[in-house]
Amino acid sequence: MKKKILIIEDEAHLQDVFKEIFESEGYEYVFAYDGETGIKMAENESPDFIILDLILPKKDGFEVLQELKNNPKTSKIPMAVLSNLEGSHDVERVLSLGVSNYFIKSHYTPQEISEKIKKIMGE
Amino acid sequence: MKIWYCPQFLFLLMNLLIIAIVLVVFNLSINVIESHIAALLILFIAATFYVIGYLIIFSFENLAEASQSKSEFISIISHQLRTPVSSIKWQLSLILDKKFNLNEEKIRKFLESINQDNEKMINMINDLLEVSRIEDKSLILNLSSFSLRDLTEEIVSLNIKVSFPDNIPDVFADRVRIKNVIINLIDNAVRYNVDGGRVSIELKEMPGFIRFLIKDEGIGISEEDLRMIFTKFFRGVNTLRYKTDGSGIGLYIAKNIINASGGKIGFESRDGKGSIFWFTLPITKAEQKIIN
Repeated sequence: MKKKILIIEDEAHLQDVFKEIFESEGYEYVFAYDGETGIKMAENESPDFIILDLILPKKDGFEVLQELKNNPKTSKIPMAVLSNLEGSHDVERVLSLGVSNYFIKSHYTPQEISEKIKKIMGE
Repeated sequence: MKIWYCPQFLFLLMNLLIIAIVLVVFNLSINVIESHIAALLILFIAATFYVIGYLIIFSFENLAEASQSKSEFISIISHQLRTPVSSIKWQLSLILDKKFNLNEEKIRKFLESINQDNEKMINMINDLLEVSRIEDKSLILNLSSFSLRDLTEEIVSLNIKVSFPDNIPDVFADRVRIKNVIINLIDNAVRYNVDGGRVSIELKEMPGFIRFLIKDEGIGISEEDLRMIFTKFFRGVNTLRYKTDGSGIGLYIAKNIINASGGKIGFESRDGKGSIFWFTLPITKAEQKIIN
């Protein structure tokens, strides 16, 4: 079965890039443009992996993370935070919420991110 | 910076005073004065030291504050620049990777997006340069007489209602910069509006001035943000967490441009019903028309 990835990211240009990458990798993917929709989709779409940005409209990534971790339906889904925030304070907050995959957007190419996701999903 | 806010100067002053006092006390103790006069003198000197000491602390606080707002600004700006930069990087690495073998149509689409990101960066840098000109007091306005009505109509999109009286006189200001101010105000009104909320603009003639007023039906401005709205690099609490756009210098630039043009700028927040921003510009005088 195809693995399904949920991408919670408000930058339309980055979404277009993800689309190309995941299509070529043979993944299924769904997008959420804001935190609120992201939480709903995580519950309803039962994705195999979630990519989460931190600065998001309506609910920010930290709030999303907290809600997903508190919800037994979504707390087990593997996740990666993908953001341009790299203050130690932000990174620590994400780690304390139980996510150990923190990638700075501008440090990686999308291909590298895709490789990392593959590894995390154990493929 | 005023000389009374300069810690080095205050330290120098204090040291000079101390030396002077040591000399005076030395002298007095030799020539023996009445004790109550000596007590008063010492009291006065102590009070002076107290005031100078207070000023020193105060000036250090000022310095620390300025430096903190600068570093906050640097961190906001670098994050703001990083968004388009990483977007460009990602799209380029996709186009250049042979593995994906994108067709021409897709490549074109990505190039257009890259172009937009690039445009965003250029605008941001132009804003920064404008801020630095304002700070250096080297802002030079290119004044001319033009119709604020025509300019407004040139900028607004269809879904914004513009109302104005007939025969509205021209204003005397920097057309390009006023255009940026208006774009900025419209941008804010649209960005912070609620879904489906209306934005309307009204031009009005007042004695010696034309007033431009823009109204939105957004969430308004929170009580704690009101005071800071025209401050450099300030962004509302909610904006920082939820919005990627906006560096918090738009309104600061707007205020400085309008003030330098001899106008005024202000706003009203209508508790939960949206905000009103307005500015005024001087009407072109007869002698200014001749110049053009």
